[in-house]
Formats: sequence, structure tokens, C-alpha cells
Amino acid sequence: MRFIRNIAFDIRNGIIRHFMLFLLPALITGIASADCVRRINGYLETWGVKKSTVTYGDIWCYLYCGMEKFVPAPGNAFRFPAIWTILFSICSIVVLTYTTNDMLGTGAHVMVAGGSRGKWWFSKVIWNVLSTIMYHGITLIVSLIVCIFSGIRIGNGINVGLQTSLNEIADMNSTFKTVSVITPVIFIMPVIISVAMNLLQQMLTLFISPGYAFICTGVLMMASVYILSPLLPFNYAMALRMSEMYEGGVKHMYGILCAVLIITLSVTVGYIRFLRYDIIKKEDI
Amino acid sequence: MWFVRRLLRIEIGKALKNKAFFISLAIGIACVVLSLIYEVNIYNRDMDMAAETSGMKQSSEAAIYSLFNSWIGGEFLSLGTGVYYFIFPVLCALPYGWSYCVERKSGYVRTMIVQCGKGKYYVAKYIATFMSGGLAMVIPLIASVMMTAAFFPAVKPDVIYDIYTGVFKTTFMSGLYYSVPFLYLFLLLCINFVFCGLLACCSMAAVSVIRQKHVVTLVPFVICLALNMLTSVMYNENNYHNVEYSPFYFLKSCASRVPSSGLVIGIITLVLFVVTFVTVNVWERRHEVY
Repeated sequence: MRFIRNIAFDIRNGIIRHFMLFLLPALITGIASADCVRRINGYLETWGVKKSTVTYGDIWCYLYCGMEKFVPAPGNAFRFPAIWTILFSICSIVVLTYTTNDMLGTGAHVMVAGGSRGKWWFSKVIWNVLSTIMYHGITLIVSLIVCIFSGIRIGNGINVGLQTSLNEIADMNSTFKTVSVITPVIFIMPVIISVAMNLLQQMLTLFISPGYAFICTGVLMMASVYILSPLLPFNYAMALRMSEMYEGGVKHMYGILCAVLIITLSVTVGYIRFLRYDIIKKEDI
Repeated sequence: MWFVRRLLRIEIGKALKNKAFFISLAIGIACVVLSLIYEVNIYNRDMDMAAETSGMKQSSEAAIYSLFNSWIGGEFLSLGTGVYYFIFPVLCALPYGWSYCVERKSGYVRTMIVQCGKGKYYVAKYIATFMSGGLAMVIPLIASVMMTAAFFPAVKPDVIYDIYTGVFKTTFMSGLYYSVPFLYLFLLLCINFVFCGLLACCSMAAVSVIRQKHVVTLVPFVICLALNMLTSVMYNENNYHNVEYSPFYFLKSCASRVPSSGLVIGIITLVLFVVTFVTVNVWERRHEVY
């Protein structure tokens, strides 16, 4: 069995047959974007600002900005960003169980037919990357559709006043200081980090059950929201934590390096582990 | 009756004496310890600073710190509380939420139904799942109260320090919090127990549409995420978010975003109960298991 057929099998079984899972990002983004447009209209009405100052970048920022640096203080309780968290959590859930289920089901026959464990593993890696890109692609398309239908201009600008209101930003002096546009690197970083974290989660499912692997992802997500640190990868997936937007934020170069390291480590460790993995062992939680 | 009791004992034994239950407790208690370390550090730092500046051994600000705003469900600043109240839906479902899915796939359900009948089996399973979910949530919380009590005095919270307690006039049961805090604590733990028990039952109910055990375990988490998003997109007539719909926040005593409402908590709990009970004990019962 050729490698390309392994990939075709995974696309067919992991994406096409589970297309309902990919309706989730469409639903979430549809609701969140519509809410964003409603709030934008409220802002424009209240402050008498022209609609031409608002662009698609503002809706994108509402979805992917995350939250500014958390400073623990009385009156400033820790709360995670609702939209950002649901987008990334659901993305992790969408790609969580297919590998394990396939390994314990028909995937074992595919592995035997392919004659190689490596082909099976790398095919799952490609499926994971494709699924994650598709997930964020759907988010992008749905938010663009909402943007077009609501008459908001397509562009990468950020209305600083609007974002301060939408995301309840307290520290205006250090946020949006350097740029007020979504640069390509800010735009692409959430997807890169999402790919890296989903591969890490896939690798973890070879050691622990998917439920615990998801807990690990959740803990990393919350730790990243709580602490602004270049060592916590989800920081790079929050636009408001990037050095381009926030003085003292994380640098995208470190983010790319971090993602490459996580991807390399996950794929290599996963491959080595999978070569010795007992695929007939009993399912355990 | 004797048989039902025996069946229930077996199911509860299976639910509470499994590896997943102890792992859930261990993860919960790790979060509790993380929260406690943070709170004790802050307390010691503030007391040292106050002693240095005033020259007194005991600062007047000591009243800010009490058991009721320093345990994991009462404080709102540490990473421990952030993580625990984010992953709790998974921790509730992990011990036994998946059990019905596995038993249905393996055919164990058929054997049990032949022996004891459908009604008894489903009721026993529902109760065991409920207990495991509730206990997985409440045991780390009780541990937190006990551990925090070893470091902080159980002084009655003062309403003038509401910014430190996070319990404001509009917060659910705020009157009780400032008058009989131990009763408040007990009621809050009861709410946590019931809500998380029902969340675990959601996993069981989800088996009627989802047949993958790892996916049904995450159903409570997805429900909580959806309710969390609801808070962000629901507005009152003045265009403000005024009620907390998210279990990530309303199961705590403090209002982290907007105040919680007893009515909203009651309605969500009732809906969860009706949906899970009807799905498990009526829908599933009427369906063929062979």
C-alpha cells in the first residue's frame, strides 16, 4: 500500500466521514462574529464613528486576540477569553480521538496492508495538520462571510478604540503601541501554534488516554493565559500577547521556533513510541 | 428491593474504586495545592510588608484574609483555581461517565438486564455515575477547605472587603456568605456536587448518539464551553451582560465576570436533570439492547 493511499484513507475516514465535527467551528464563528458585528454597530452608534474605520481585521482580532497580560489584583479576577478558548479547545477535541479509534479499529488492518507502522503514523500526522488547517480555514471563511454580509470593509486594519472596548483592554499604554494592523505573521501564528499543540496532543495519546491528553492541553492553555511567558506556547496564539501589539509581549520568531521544536519532538517521539506500541492491547481510560 | 440495593452497591463500588476516579482526585488535589501555595505566599508577603511599615506584629489588613476567600472556590487570582475550574467537567466525567458506553459496546448491559431488568440497571447506573461525578468535584474542594483552614482563620467575612472576597450585593447567596459563611460553604459544595453529578450523567446520556467512549467523556466540557460562550453573547435590556451562565464561574463563590443568579443555576441544573434522566431512564430503556 502506497503512502498516498494511507493519507487518502485518513482524509476519507477522519475528515469526510466526520464532516459534522467541522460544522462546529462554523457554528461557533458564526455566532461569535455576529455578536462582534452587533457590538461594533453599538460602538459606532455610541461614539459616532464612521463604519469605514472598521475592517475585517477587527472581527478577526475579536476571535483570535485572546487576552492581554493578566495581572493578579483584587478587583481583577482571573477569567479566560471565552471566544479564543472555545475556538482552540474545540479544535483540540476535533482531532483528539480519531488516531486512537483508528488504531483500535480498522486502522490496524490498514497498517498490516501498508506493511509499515511509519507510514501509518506519518499519515496520521498529515491528517492532523490538514484537519487543523481546515478548522481554522472554516473559521476564516465564516467570519469573512459575516463581514461581507454586515457591510464591513475587508482589510487588515485594527480600530484601536473599538478593540479596547470589545476586549476590555485596561492597559492601553502598552497595547497597540507598535502596530494597528494585523500583519501576516500575527495572522498565521494561531494556526501554527494550533498545529503544534494538536500534534503534541496526538503524541501524548500514545502514552496516556485521550481524556488525559486533553487535560494536558487544557492545563497548558490556562497556564499560557495566566502567565505571559515565551515558554508557554499558547501565548503565541494570542494576538494581544504578540510583541507587535503589546510592549513586552512574546516575539513571533520565538513562537515559530517553539512550534517547530514541538512539531519535531512530537512527530519523532510519537514515531519511536509507535514502533513499539502494542496495537492489540485493551482499550483503557 | 434487596436486589436493587445490591446492584447499586456494585455499581457505586465500580464507580468509586477505579483508577480513573483516583487519578481525577489526584489532578484536582494538585490544583488545590497550587492554589494554596499561591494564597499562603501572598498572605505571608502582605503580613510581612504590613508588619514592616506599621511596626506591628499583626496587621489590621489581616481581616482581608479568611478561609472563605482563600480556599480554591473562594479565591479568584491563582493559577490553581483557573486550571481547576477549567478542567473540572472532564475530571467529573473521567471516573465513570464512559462506563455505560463501554458496557454497551462489550455486551455487559445485556447480561445485566437479563439478571436484573432494564429499569433497575439504568437507575443504578445513573445514580453511580451521578455519585462519581459529584464526588470527583467535591472531594478536592473539601480537601481545599481543610488545607486552607490550617493556614487561614475562619473569620466571618466583612462586607467592606467585598473587593477581596469577590462576593457583591448582587451575587447569589451573598447575604448568607456574610452572615452564616459555613452554611454558605456547605450549600455551595452541595450545588457543586449536584451540578457535577449531572454533568457526569450527560456523558452517560450522550451514549444514545455517540458511541465512542473518549468522545462521551468530553461532552460535559463541550456543554460548559457552550454555556460559557452564552454569557458572552447574551445581553440584558441595557445592553450589558448581567447574569453568569457559565459553570466555569458560577460554581465558585466569587463573581469573576458578572454575578451569578440562583434562578439561572437552578434552571440549568433542572434542564440537565430532565434531559439526562429522560434520555437514560426513558429513551435508552425503551431501546433494544440486542
